[in-house]
Amino acid sequence: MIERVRGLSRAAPILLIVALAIAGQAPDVGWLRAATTDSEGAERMTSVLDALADEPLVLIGFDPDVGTYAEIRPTVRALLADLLARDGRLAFVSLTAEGRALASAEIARLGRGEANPTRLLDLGFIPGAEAGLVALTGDIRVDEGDDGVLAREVEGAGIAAVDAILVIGGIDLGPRSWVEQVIPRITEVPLLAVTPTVLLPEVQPYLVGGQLAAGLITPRDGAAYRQVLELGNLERLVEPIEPRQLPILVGMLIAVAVLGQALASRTLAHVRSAGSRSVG
Amino acid sequence: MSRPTITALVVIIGLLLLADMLVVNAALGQVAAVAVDAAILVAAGAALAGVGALGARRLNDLWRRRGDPVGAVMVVVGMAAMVIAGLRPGSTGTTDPAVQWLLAALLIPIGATLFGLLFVTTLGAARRSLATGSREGTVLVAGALVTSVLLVPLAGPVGDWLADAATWSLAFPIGSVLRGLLIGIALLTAVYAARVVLGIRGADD
Amino acid sequence: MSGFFGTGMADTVGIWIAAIVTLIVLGALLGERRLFGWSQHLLAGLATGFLALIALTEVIGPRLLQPLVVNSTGRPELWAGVALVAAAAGAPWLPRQLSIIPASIAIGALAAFALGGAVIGTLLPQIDASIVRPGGSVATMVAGASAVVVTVLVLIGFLHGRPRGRVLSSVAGAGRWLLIGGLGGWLGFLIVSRLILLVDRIGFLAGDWLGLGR
Repeated sequence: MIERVRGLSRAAPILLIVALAIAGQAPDVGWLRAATTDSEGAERMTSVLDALADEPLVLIGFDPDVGTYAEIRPTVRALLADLLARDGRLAFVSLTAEGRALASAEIARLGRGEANPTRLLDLGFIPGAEAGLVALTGDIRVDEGDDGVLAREVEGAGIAAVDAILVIGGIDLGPRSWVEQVIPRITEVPLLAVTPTVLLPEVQPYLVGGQLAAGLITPRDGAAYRQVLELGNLERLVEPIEPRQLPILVGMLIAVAVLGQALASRTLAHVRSAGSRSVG
Repeated sequence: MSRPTITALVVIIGLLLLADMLVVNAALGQVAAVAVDAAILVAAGAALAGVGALGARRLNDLWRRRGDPVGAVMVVVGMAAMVIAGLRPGSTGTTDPAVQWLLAALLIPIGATLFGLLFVTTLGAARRSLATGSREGTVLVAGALVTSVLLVPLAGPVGDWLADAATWSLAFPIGSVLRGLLIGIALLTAVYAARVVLGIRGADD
Repeated sequence: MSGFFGTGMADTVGIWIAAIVTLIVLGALLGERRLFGWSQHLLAGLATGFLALIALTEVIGPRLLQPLVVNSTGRPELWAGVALVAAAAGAPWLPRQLSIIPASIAIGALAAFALGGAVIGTLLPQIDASIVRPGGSVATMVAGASAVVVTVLVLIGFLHGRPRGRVLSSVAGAGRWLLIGGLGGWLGFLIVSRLILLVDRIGFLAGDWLGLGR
């Protein structure tokens, strides 16, 4: 019996992966849905973007980490496409190595998707985290090989030319660093964020407190935002397939079962020991 | 160089940058900008130091035949592949196709899959915390169970109710707790940083 | 679909390599530790190699070396920068008297940014945001007041040190339990996010690699 339990617990991870793989291939079902019908996060993001000037210049602090990027990747790509659809001009800068790796990969992907190169500016990597952020508020260095109109505008006016800042956050550096180091040093510019769930503790208070103008901080926010986008021919820049919900449901049910069973066992053991103590 | 001099350097740099944040003064700003640039260059140098130290240690391990030789070779090969791909004649650095290939084929999938394992290990850790019998573990897991149920991705009126409850729980109880935590962390950070900037505590303590 | 690959032959090989390393890492769940360990060593090597690459090509090169190539005598500040980078890069091997200079610059800058940012960027605005202001509905004000009570209790519980009297200990205890409950709630959100990460990797194997479900 004990051997059977041990064997089952060893096989459990592979059974989990097989179950998720099968669920991922099943057709979509109507009774599952990633997004809520109304998401304050998505509505707020859309309204902030709507309020931006024409052809907004958006400074994108691209610092996700490779571990958690998959959670926000569909939303990030949709948001970049949305900004381009609004004739936005995007200037990418990274302050972490992983962020720089992912930024260069995403810029390459935009290039393969034939995004307008005159609307993209790669500002590269600035080390030093907080020091790099403070340096951005002084002047923005542009690569000498970049001599386009966008590059000259950013180099000439610096952060004063920026209409909005979008922070793609990760474990190493997130919106908190931008809120603390950049916002106090510049005149009012809306700060937007797309972050994985692991950054909730630092992002949620800033959203409620208004220091972040808008944020897509949970997978549901991201799904609600993506749901209402109208990108026209820039649809080619977003992920072709929305994340499937059936594997999420299967995984969540497994998680609820595992946690519930453990909690029930613990509670039962506690009740039994309390009962035996009272009898004794 | 004696400790008082090192502490003085920390205090001078710290007070300079703090003053620059509080006072708008062109001359002060220019001096502070030099300090910021210096900090950036130090960070770049420190990055090279870390890389060099890791590489030297692994090469030393291989030379002295200690530890895991395959692991050491993997570290050195990974480093060399990335550096050569980016610095070879004709390369365009981080945007070079060879560098992009290494990122897409190796670095990103390994890192991403590592975090994918966390679903299983997180559930395992939650079960183990319950097994210790602590009340704190029970409350922690109970909280996780409640929000997990609220986050089940159902459509229809039941799904709407669950989603609304999840949004409320994030905005109010969880959000209030997180604000208290953020303020607490900011307070501790400010106190410790102030001690360093004012030289109350040794910078190399 | 990860979207990091194009359609060329190199990309096809890349997808296969990515799939193999993904399976190796997933193999850790089955107890295969050796290959898993080697994959982590490879990750460490690639990550540090990339860090060295961007430090050289995107910071030290354009800020110091390239301007020095153009004008090596007229800009002494660049030579000072080179010396600073060299001292920082050589810190593990240089005498303490030299290596401590870049360390002091880094520590002083970090402390100043941390202090200024924590107070001006977080503390003051968050305390201001916590204040319940009259003017809203009764429900809103009650909710706001409740949120403030929870926040203050958690703050006391988080910062409280040695017990000092029954009242403060009770308040700190209540804050501590609220903190644990709140973190438990956050853990629920984290479990979902980690599930998404695992599903994404499985989706990569099924979709990008095996071409299923396209």
